[in-house]
Amino acid sequence: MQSVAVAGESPARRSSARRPPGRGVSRWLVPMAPALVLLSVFVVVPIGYAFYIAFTNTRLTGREALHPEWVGLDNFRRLIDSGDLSNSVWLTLIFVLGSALIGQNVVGFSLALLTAHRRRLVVSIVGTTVLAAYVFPEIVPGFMWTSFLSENGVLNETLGLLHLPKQQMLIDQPIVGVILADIWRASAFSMLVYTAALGDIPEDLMDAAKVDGASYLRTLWHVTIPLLRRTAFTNLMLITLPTMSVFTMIFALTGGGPGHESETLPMLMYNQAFKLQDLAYGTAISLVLLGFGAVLSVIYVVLLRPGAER
Amino acid sequence: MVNNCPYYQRRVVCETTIKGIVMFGHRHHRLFVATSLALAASLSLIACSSGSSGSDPVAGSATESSSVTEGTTAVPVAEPQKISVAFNATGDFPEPKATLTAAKASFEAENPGVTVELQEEVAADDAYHTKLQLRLQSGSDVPDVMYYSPGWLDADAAAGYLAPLDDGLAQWADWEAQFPEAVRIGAKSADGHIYGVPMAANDIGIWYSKDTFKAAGLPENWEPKTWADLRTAAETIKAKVPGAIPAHLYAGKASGVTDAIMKTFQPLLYGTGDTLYDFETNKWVKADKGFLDTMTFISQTYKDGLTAKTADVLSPNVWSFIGPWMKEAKLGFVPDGNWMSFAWIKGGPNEWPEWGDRLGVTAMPTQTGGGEGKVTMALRGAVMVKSAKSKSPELAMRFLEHVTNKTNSLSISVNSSQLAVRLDVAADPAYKNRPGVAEFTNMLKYAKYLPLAEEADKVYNLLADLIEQVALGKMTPEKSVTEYNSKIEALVGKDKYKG
Repeated sequence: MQSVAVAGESPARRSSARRPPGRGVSRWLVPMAPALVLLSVFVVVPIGYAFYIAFTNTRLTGREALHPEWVGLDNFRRLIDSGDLSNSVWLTLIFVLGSALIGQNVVGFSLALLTAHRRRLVVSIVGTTVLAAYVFPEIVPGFMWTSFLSENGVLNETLGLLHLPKQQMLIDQPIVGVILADIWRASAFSMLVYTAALGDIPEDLMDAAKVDGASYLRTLWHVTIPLLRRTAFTNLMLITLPTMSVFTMIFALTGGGPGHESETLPMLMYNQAFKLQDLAYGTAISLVLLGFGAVLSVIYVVLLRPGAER
Repeated sequence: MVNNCPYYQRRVVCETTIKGIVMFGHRHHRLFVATSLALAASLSLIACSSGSSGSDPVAGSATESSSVTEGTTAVPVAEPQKISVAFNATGDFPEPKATLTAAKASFEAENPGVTVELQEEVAADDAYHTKLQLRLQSGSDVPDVMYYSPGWLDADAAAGYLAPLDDGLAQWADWEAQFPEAVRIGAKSADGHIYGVPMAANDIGIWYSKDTFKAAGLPENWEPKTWADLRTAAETIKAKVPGAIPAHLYAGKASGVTDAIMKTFQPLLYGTGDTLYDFETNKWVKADKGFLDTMTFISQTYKDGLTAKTADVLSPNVWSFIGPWMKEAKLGFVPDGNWMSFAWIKGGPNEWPEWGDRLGVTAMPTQTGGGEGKVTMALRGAVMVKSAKSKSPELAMRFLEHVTNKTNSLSISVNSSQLAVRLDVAADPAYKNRPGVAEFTNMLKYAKYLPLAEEADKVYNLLADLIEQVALGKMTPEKSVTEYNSKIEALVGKDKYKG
């Protein structure tokens, strides 16, 4: 909602910026002061503090809690040497690739495509169902999927009725389990984005394709998808960053285990900081996570640069 | 934001919103990306740092102060006449809630004008401890008195969270008179101070089901003499009693980091003659043959399918399965705490009047029957501690004495099947005639102790991880030895490592 408000204001602000400045700094500082104060208290200071902690040996207990010392890059060195990082980075990549880039994107697009130009009732039912998963706090789908995939869960009972072998995905392939659950939860967002974009495709283009005798698949491939390319990029950007930092879902399903088999970066950060009480090490991991977010964002900025395509 | 938008009713609004965002995204790429990045980054970091503000009141405060109105105190006193007491409640386990609730009522009755606020955390030990640490570290909203596990004492005292109780205890007549010398010495932390008043004591022995043993044709009075006897019993049960779990060896981290260590690993390791820690020099030693043999025993037991299903082993609630498994004769044996009988006593989650006759208790044998022949892990039971930041230290000390007096100490021992630390409790018929008490008390002649030095938690975090991976077959016992030896020195520090 906020973004829309800003979007509406933007042109106005730009035009006012062209006007000669009034009483100097106070002209913009006064109205922006509350926002700046809030931002610095709730964003800048915590981030700065996190940066500081990552270079100390602060723990939640022991003498390091009372008298933390500056240890330079030790935490980062340990992160690389211990193998924790490579495992978690790998799992995070699989998770983001599986859940966001492939899963949510494809499922969301397919849902949007399938519900486009359908009867209102169908659209409403499908839309409500899909969105219900998204509006719940993450912990709710987390528990639902835990019981769905658990040993005596719905899935195994159903498989049993059909005389099929039972699964124990959360133990054998935990990362697959959390990816499926996250796709189920988060696809609604992509669906909304694509539904909106599909509605924007001019009817005459479709009609033209139809007149030319193009099949449904050809129209999809040569008309719809090319027109949605920028939407797809925006959507990917919107879903990648939140997916990378998904915590509650994995926490509820596996807690990062068994062993470290579903310990993505946010899980590693939590386990180290709060379970193993190593606050500094956990904070160092959060900086790595921040770094990844930054790299991804830069990639998207480059890809989305005006004139980068066409 | 978008996800708060009720879709069904206001689809148009929603779509407009999304379109707005998408269009905005097209028009202002950089600004948009920068905003998203900042948001995502700050969220992940705030999640990490917000804990230190620790200002949230404890959820589900059990009982509000009922009758006492403020300002009725006749004598003006320097410190506030109100203390807060934090404790955790896990699943079906009745204590310490029952005893603390009673202690609050009697303490308030004896001291008019005093209010005791109970702060109940519905959480497992590890999560409860982390939350306490965050509150203690923040220094604001600190509980005055806390229910604590003895394993947390040394490290948290070093962190400056806890107040030493030496002076207070010296003035308390009961301390000398009712707490045996061994308990008083055992209550000391490595720095020589006492930080917690013990409420009970515990040890680990092997519980076995006589029904399962009978069905397998094994003796109902079982006394294993070597590890091989344990194997033989498990294999016999597997062969003769289909559907029964022959043995349960705790190996998962989820139910608590020290679970697998104190119930499985340490009793076995002490049985090899090796140790993790040299109590003489207060230094950690490297993993050797005994470590390897212990891991191999765990690995073999799991590999041969003599244990519970992986999903159960990894469950955070695995300890609560033992009660029903034993009652339904679905389990052969399990090394576990004396407190397990809380499950079957009157008022417990799996009431079973005959449990005293149908279950046996025996001590863990050594590897080949050598040494003293048996090993018992003696554990300090839960303690009550006082926060270093308490605003009412005098009142808090008086509450500590009250909650560990005979009545309350007896109540916690009986309700939760724990061993007594007070002489008058140990002599009370309501305590000493209970099934299991004699066996678990006699076993203490083989007592071995869990190292609880300040750096122990770091070692246990590593060790618990290795045990879980070895049990699940994801790491060989040999690899676990090399892993342990490659990390232990850096973990505890050069001056605490013997080699």
